[in-house]
Amino acid sequence: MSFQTPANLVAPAATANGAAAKSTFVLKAGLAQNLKGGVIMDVINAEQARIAEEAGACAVMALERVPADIRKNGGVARMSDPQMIKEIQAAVTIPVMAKVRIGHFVEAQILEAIGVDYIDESEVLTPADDMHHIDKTKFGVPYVCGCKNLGEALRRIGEGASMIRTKGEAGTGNVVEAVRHARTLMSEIRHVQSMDEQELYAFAKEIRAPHHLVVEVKRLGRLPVVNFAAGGVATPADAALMMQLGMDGVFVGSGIFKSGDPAKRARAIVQAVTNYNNPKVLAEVSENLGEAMVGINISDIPDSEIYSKRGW
Amino acid sequence: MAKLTIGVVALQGAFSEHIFMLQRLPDLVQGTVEIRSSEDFDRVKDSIHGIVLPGGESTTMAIILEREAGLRNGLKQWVQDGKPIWGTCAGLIMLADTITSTKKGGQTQIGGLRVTVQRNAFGRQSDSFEVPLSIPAIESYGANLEGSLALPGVFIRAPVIESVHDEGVVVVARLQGREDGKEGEIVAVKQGNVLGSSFHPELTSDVRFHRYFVDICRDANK
Repeated sequence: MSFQTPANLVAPAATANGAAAKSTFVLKAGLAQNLKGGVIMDVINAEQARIAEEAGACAVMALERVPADIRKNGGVARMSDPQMIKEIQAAVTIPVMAKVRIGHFVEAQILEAIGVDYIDESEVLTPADDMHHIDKTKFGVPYVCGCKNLGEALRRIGEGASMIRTKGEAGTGNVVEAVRHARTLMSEIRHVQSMDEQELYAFAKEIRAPHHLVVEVKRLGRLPVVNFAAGGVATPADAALMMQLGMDGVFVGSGIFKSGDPAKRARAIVQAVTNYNNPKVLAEVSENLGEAMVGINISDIPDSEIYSKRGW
Repeated sequence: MAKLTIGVVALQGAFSEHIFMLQRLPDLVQGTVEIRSSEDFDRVKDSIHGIVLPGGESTTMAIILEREAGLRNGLKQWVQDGKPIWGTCAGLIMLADTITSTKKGGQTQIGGLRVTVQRNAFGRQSDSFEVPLSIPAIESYGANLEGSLALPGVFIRAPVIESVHDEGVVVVARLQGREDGKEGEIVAVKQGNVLGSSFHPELTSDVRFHRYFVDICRDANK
């Protein structure tokens, strides 16, 4: 599915008297629209951020440990040290994102204060609130949130998220959960399109989503914001798979810097996302990438360590 | 005059929004084609009447273009031949002869538009803004759907045109002047059939700037 639907048809929020308007939905969702067809890479320091930028990342996600290490080390995973994020901001010219714990609006206030370009309210970190997500409408900084299905995506958009990603299962190098979440989402969107207007009320209740957003999904035939794949993408083929399944772009976490030749693999994944429908290019860029990250079977992960179950 | 076909470079960024906007001009535009590779470009270059270079991350597009020498050189030649091309935001950066605030080590570009462009001129996302732009060149098309003559200007981590290098480059739009009497920054220019804008008309419902570019394509292909 391409981004050809009228999702860009939003009323201009600029004020009539000629004053500039900031932090509008157009600007928040618009930055994500500019990231489409790109790869957002997890980095843990300025050096990795530079490698990612040189490889063609359209943005970087600054965090202290990649998900694979969070998984290995255990314990409570929190927002990264602002100093580290600032070093990354100084090192690159592309947008810098950073993660906060689900519901931890003070971590978000801190990230907003240091001027990150996007916040990921992420299930990869240990949730700080077992009932509530952050009220993202209260922030000037835009948010991306994870989802497993349409209801979860629309709840997050209802709370103010201006970009969505699949949850997948981060830090596994196993794309199966991202595929499941993308397929679920797309299938539910097609289902909504087949419904008449009365049915949308009951369906909105069933999936616990705001009714007006379900109506919007029917009108657009897609989510009303940009939707990336995330959680387990490790190869150029994985990235192209997610694009062919209808995602607008790809997050790669542990897959790059836990592999044998990060710079080369990063560049290959960037090429794969642009040329996702061209098997000839995909074959070329998949050659000689060295060791991929070691994968984990989802069935080997204890239930309490399945990140995609976090978030409500 | 037959209707036009417009090529949209689809390496990364907001290319489908441009396609959507161009499709809203069915009286002028017959169709659009996505250009992702050198082969795509060779296949369509003789049948398209203009090219759009969309917004996105200029560093990403530059790195993909490095691999696609045919496309890169083809676009350079297209600009040198004075054929119609419009770069928005990152596309403007790619077209500019001189770029400041690039990533470390600089970045490959297409060039040909004789201006100096500063990347991220306003700062980070928190400094992104929307402001109505007064653009005389599009006012003959009448008011937009909101009844305003001004174009909703969407500036997202936007570049500005610091300077134009000669009188062959015409200023199409500026931000409003400041209170101290200083002129506002240059945010759109035209050099022959080459158009550059630092804002994103494709993220609005106002189709007039796209019509302005399509009219340039039509006049150039008469």
